[in-house]
Amino acid sequence: MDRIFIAEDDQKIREELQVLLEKYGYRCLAAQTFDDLADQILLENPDLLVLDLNLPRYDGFAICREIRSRSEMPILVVTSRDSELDELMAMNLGADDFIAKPYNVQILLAHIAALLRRTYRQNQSVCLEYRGLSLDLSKSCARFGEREVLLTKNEQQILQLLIQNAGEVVAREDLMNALWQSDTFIDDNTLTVNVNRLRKKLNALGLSGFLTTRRGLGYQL
Amino acid sequence: MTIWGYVRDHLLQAFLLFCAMGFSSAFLLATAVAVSTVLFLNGVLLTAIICGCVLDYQRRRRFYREAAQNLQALDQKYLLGEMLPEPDFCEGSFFCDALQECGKSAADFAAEHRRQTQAYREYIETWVHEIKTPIAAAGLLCENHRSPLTRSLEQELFRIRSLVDQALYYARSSSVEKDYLLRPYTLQSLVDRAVRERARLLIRTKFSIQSENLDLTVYTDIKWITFILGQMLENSIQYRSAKPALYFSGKRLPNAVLLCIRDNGIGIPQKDLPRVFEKGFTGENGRRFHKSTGIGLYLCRQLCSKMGLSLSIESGEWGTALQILFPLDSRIDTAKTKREDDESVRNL
Repeated sequence: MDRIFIAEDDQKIREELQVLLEKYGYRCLAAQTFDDLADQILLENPDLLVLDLNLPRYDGFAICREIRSRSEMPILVVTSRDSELDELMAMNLGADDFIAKPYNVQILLAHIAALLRRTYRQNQSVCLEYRGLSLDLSKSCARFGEREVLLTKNEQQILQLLIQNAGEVVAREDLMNALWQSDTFIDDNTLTVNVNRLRKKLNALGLSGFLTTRRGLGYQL
Repeated sequence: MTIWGYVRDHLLQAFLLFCAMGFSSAFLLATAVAVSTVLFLNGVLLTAIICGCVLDYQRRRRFYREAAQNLQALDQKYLLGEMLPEPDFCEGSFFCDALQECGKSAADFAAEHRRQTQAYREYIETWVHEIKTPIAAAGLLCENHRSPLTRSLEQELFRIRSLVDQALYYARSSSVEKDYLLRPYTLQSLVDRAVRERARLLIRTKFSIQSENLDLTVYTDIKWITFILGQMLENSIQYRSAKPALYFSGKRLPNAVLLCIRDNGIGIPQKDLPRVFEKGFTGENGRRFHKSTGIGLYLCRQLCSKMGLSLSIESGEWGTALQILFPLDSRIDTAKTKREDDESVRNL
């Protein structure tokens, strides 16, 4: 399980970010005091650092420089200042990625996942599992027991979101939003078609009744 | 200052002078002084006075002519006082001192105002950055407690974000050049980015998105152009029809690339069309829907003209189309290699 350190001074954001990231399968660490932030981070040695630029005591740039001089951990800089200069400076000081507040949550998650994959799992396959079904994100195929089917990009993304929220009802709007965030601007009907195709493929794997429709609400695994 | 103007100014003196000369000549002639002596005396007096006047006229003319030239050359007219030649007559000195005083007070006033505007703009920028933290926190709260309520709240949050952004860009609109980075982008990437930002709103209002021929490269600043496109999308959302759709299309012209954003919304009445880019203009639709601030399109036009893009609008029964024209120059040939460079930097 990947460990993510959150360096963020706004308590609400810190707490909610922790809840969110833990829901998506990360372990979270966060700083409560900021006097020796760099040391705290280095001591914990997380797999990824989410760093706000606007911190009390030392600003994010200083922390970024200090961490980079002593560690290679990936750093994702988050800031509410959206000037190009900030981005440039953060990158120059060794940050690996940059995202502006107020961020779209799906985009933040995508950035974190991409950064982790780039750093630690360059060639390794990324798999999501749920009740014996495994979704291989790098090969875009779903596997159950011995059987295997290839998924299209849309189907994969739908299945991924459903697995990540397994047991909960995922609204059609949320599914569409996730697809739109990767620049596939599908409409209502296309989503229905995609979900039906996905359901057929799951049936072919021997998982009939696995993906259920909750009328008026959305879909559920 | 012309010679006739000068003469007119001195008509009273001349009249009095001639009266005095006539009177004293009559007196002298009455006391049996010879006519030739009287004429001689008058001649000497007249010559002396005319010479004096000519010299005086020249002196003044030199001063005023220089003043007029300086005035014409100056950008800030209130600085004239500082540019005047040293006058050698007392009216001129008074005039000069007064102008300098005026200029100083105007300059102080202008500087004070500039300082205030600057301070206010900085405050708005800081405020906008501050407000983003609670907005981000609220967004996370919604995401972590998904329900119909939070989904609807998310929509309101997005509207807040969008209005806050508008304030920020309005504050910045007078100084676009200070924060401006030209890079090559495909029209597709610009459109994708703007649509992505408003995905929830567009999905909820059941928009269908279509695009064609967006594989053209333009040089632009991503932040400003995304804002402009966003404002346009917001208009399309606000004035949508029952089955809303958006069509994006690109077109290569000889020296430019044209991006067209067309919706099938309710359209704009022809009589309102010429004024939609005016600040504060809401038009019939804006009043009918009670939502328009009359700022969105005004800002778009402002920013476009600062960025050297031209913006035009068409509307009818079929909906509304906005067209942005990106001028191209010879650098476009290097666009592809440049983009690959950027991407490799990004992937490092």
